[in-house]
Amino acid sequence: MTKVTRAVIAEGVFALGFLLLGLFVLFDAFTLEEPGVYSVVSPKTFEYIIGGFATFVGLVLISEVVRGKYGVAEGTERGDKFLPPDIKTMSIVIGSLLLHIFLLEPAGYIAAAALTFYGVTFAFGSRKFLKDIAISFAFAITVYFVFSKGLRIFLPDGIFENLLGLAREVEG
Amino acid sequence: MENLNLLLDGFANALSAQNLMYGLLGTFLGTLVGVLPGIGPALAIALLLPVTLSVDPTSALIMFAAVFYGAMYGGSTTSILLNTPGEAGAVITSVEGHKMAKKGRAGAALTTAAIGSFVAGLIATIFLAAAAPTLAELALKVQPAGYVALIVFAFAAVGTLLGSSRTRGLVSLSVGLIIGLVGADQQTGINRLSFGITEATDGFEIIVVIISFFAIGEVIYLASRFKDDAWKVLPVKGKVWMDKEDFRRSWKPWLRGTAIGFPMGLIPAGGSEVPTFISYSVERNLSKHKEEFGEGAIEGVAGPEAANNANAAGVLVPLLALGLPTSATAAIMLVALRNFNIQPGPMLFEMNGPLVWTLIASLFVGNTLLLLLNLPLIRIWIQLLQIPRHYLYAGIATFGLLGAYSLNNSIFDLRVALILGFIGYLFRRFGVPNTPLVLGVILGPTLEIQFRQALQLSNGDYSILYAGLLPKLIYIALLLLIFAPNIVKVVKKRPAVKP
Repeated sequence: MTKVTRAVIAEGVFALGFLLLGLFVLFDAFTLEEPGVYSVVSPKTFEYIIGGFATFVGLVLISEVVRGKYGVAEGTERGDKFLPPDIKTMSIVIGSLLLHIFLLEPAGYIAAAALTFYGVTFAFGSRKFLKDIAISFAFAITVYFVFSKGLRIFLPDGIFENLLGLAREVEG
Repeated sequence: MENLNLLLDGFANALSAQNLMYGLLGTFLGTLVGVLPGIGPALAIALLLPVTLSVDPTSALIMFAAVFYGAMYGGSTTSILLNTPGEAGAVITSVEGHKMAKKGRAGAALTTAAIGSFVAGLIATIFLAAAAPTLAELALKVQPAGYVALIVFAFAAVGTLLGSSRTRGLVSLSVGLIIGLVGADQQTGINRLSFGITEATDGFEIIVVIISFFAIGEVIYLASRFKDDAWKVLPVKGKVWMDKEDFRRSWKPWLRGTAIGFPMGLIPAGGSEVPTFISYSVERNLSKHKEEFGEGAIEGVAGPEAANNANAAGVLVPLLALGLPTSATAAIMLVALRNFNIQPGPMLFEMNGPLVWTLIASLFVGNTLLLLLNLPLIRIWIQLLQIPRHYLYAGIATFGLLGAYSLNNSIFDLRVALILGFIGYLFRRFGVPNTPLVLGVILGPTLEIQFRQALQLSNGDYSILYAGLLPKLIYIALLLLIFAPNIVKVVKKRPAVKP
């Protein structure tokens, strides 16, 4: 009898979530509007096959988890102990990534990249504020120069680009 | 003979001053990114792809080939000095090489890895140049049903041979296939799984998927295990070069590793994990120094490293000749080639002859540049390992987001990257391998096209799927693969690793 720990519950939730994904694909195939014209094979066919396959694998996965066969988390293959996830560090990292998505177009690449860089640095335990901020901006500005100016790959201009006189309009 | 001339033309293209510059730049960048811990060759190439897209196709191919070899070599440096394999094929190197480094023999381990990779890359590329056109000619006769069988076989092999659990390999494959379904159907334009979101009707960009799973997912996972591990970079003491005895013990493993790695790249046998393990056990059995294995035997680095590199070149044969990628790295290569308007497959050598031969010549050039660049620069690469972890992860995350955004300048792609990145975290947390997913995303749509063509030929008669000799042979091989797990277990038997 295996002890029902949080890790075991997590396994169960993961397996169940995957099964639901498979069922959802089947549902999507079922509700797909039938196209008027197609030759021989409907777009539903393949979706049914994949959804069915995923559902089958999901059932096998659940039966394995019930029998106590759990996944081996990456990095613990060699018998290292698995520790519960560090929710705080994870949240700061994910928050920093989200920040990038929200800031990129309104505030420009340099601001968004520097803040994300700093956020991840902070999450991973660095507390040297001035040094980290300086490195974050140095990284963001370097990337901006290499990609936007050097390789001519578009990056949104914003606060700092205007401040530094780098924005596209200025370039003419 | 004709092919030889074409190859020489390819060399003429690759060796222009401008292209050599791009080659050097590619080698440098590839090694630079590949050496960073946690970045395997697949991710390194995906991250550097935007860089190669801004130059003309020939130069881009050279740069790309150089990035490919640079990233592979950079990965082994990290494995040896830091014991963090960036991909399954480097696990053995990190076990045996790291032990060598602990004994103060890091220099010899790095050198045997570098020369072994060079030798293997050289021989394997020669075989690639010979085999790919021939296979492509044969492949012209393959019917859609044959392709369906080949892809199904590749799925089964990659899904079940990788990682510790078959079921979880298939979970990964399923998620990949589902991601591949998203968007408008190629034939009818009917939207599948797109929830009425306009951007989703174009489907997900493969590069975005790869960056999410390999970069964003990795950083989130590392955050979740933050307190778990500390790094210790081992110093390279004394001379970097190998001595005579090292050479004497290395050259046979290099050649044997090549002989094992290349043919196993031809069949879709799940990337370089299996050949490196086979090479390792062969070397252990043949060695007069059996007691050193597991404690830092140079043969245990030389053989698997050569097998890994030869395998990577072998994988290019089905990629170029059939359009079938069988490793994550090859899958990214397929995307890159499509971006240059090169469609790998049986028609490749006829349609894009000059470019393909330039690519093959570039592989030779990239391989050579790598050796010339890396042996002298090894100490600089080691410095890179000293970058504090927090800056490194911040760099991976920010650069990953840049790659996801810059493909289409789309915030939607960034949202997709974050969501898929979180799924990538879950994969790592629950021991689900990444490679089957990548193949599912890339080959799923191809499978559907071939499946449809097959059934159109037969007017909807499903028996066409197993009619003919080739599909039958492949399905028999598939059954063997599934019902002979004991064979697989012997193949996958891992060396004893003391933590």
